[in-house]
Amino acid sequence: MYSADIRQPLVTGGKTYSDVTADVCRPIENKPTSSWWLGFITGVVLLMVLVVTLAWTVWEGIGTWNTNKSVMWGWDITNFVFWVGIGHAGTLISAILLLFRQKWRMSINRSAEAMTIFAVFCAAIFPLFHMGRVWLGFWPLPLPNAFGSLWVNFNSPLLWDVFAISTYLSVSLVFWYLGLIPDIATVRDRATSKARKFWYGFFAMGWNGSAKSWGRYEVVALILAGISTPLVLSVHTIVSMDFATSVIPGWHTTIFPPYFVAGAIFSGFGMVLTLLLIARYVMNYQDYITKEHLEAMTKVILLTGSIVGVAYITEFVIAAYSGYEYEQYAFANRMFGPYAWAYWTMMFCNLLAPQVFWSKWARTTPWFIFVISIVVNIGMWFERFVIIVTSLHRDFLPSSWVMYHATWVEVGIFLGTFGLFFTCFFLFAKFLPVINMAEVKTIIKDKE
Amino acid sequence: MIDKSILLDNKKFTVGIFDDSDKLLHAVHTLQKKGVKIFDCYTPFPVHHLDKALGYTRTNLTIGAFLCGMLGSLTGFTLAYYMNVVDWPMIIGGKPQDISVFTSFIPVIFELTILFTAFGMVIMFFARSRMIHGIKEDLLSRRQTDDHLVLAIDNSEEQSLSNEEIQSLLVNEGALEVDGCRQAFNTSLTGEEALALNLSNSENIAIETMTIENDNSAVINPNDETNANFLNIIKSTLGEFSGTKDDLKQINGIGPKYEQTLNSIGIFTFEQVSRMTQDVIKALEEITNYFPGKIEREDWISQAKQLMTN
Repeated sequence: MYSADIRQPLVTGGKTYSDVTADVCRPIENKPTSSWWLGFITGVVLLMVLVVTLAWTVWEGIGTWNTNKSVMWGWDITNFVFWVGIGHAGTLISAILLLFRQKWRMSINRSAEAMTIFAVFCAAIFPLFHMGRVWLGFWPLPLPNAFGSLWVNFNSPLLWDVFAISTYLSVSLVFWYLGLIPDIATVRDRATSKARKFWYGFFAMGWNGSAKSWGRYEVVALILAGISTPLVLSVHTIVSMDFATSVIPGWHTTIFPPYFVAGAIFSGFGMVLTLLLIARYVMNYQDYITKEHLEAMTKVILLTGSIVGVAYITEFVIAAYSGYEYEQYAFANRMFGPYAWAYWTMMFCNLLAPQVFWSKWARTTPWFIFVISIVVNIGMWFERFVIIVTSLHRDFLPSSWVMYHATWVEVGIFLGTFGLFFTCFFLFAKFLPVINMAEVKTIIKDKE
Repeated sequence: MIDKSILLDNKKFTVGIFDDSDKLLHAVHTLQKKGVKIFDCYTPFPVHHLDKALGYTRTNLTIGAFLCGMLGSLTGFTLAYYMNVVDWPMIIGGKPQDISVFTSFIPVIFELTILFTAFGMVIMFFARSRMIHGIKEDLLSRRQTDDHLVLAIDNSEEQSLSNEEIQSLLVNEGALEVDGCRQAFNTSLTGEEALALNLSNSENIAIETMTIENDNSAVINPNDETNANFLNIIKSTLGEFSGTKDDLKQINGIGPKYEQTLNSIGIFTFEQVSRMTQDVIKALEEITNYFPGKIEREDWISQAKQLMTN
């Protein structure tokens, strides 16, 4: 196989095939470590916060949130867009990077895809509970209506969202599961307990790695990647249309779809880096998630962060140039109004902070990348907050101007979704192979 | 579990087990040049060019996927058009609600196209590869999903070479292990059962090593060259057995069958087990085709040390 000498190896430590299996199966086959328990219990505690705050919302009513006229969308939709955005990195890594033949994706795609799925779960909570009567949450589905033959409105971007997000979730799940099958079979064949043999045997679907199956498997993976690529791009495009198709100053712009997609990839990679740096340290995967991987991901952060930065400035210039005073006011209010602190936090975190990745040192120093990845997460949350709240709290009618602050219930639900996310992620790290063994075994001799 | 063996039925195979994809690929080419028909290969990871070497044509699943996608588009369009134009037009702001609003149906049509393609294709893939939840797997080596690549030749098929010739050819190609008659087994059997089956399939290594033990001479036929090497490693590290035999079954993880196997190799005492090194463990796993990593996981060495002090 051809390899250029200036490239670094993708997997270090001179691993053999059986080393890969042993390293990846270790957490599944041994008792969980104390750091695993620490993370898992923290996750469960936060999950309890989610349960309590959601129960309180349902019991007491949606009035426990401060979303009211004219800020009808507050933390809930901010959090929804935040989590959907995070859910973009997984499929981007496994689909788009597969099409671009970026082999460094192979040791990180499994965990990134898992992260995608859990993030979309978290995202789905917000619109569902925002509807107020969550037990009627099936109404956005195209079902015959009990009150006559009124159907859902296909002109509404909110309905497009329902289709986009449910398709994204189910296709990501299928893609993830398909990738897991050969690795589940590996765990099955090493299993020493009856329960493990049964469950991994059940989900491995009789996989035995025959060349015929591998041939089909690779074609299926390629086609899935091919159709997932436009899917990833469509999901955040449609999410951005929730805003862009309305006539609110600050929302009604055509730049939203590309800018939201870039932002989603940016925030998704931020979260992937946060999680992988923890996983790499806790599970000792330094040989699989090497500094080369970190560097490649920080480059994506740098690129998408710069695209987002350019979009911020473009938006501002277009508002100034438009001669439309409501639009101009919306942007002046973002920068110098009562939420200016949120705007400047966003500008610092998303526009300035990632620019440090021009330096090689910053791209290869794990603790520093970890700090910046947290900064990126914070910045992207504030981006959605700024877009939603600053545009809504100044209505066309000045007598309707309000200030919006979240209640403890809204804050609790947001913290709680982190609980759900981390609980799922720690369970995944315990019960499933975190690294795609079959793919990594094909590249242990390669360089990238 | 569905109690049926789906893929390999009760066929008997000549297998060559490799540890490297290049060697496997070379062996496939060599065998085919000599006119040997290969049944299939089993690998822990996709080996590039292997499907071409085996003469498999590209799957037609893509055509199926395309048809599923078309069905998805049609469903999306029908859904939106019927609900919003035919059955109950929602007139908002006096705008027309007819085919001219087609553009706002595009997102739904697009999403359903992708949904149908993905699910249709994956379901067809499972059906075509005869995969379903709970079906029993057919394995020819316990480590074919770990680090061993298996080349399988169907014994019932007529071949241009004799079975012995094929076996020696495989050895020359660098196979770690060659077996002239192996049946598929699955790991849903208990460990002891699977081991017993595996041993009887691979011409019973236990008995073979027994003969080595009795003759006190190195019987080298092409099949066990590697086995003999491994036995040497074990002998030289653990030494010859002397004194009284211990009940190895007291070690958690060793059953009566594996105790017999260990005895046949020349391991009789806790003291010997406690002195096992990495190389010995590897050698043991190789010749007895044992669960990789089980010895370390169950920590037989410390167990043996503990039992020695008792």
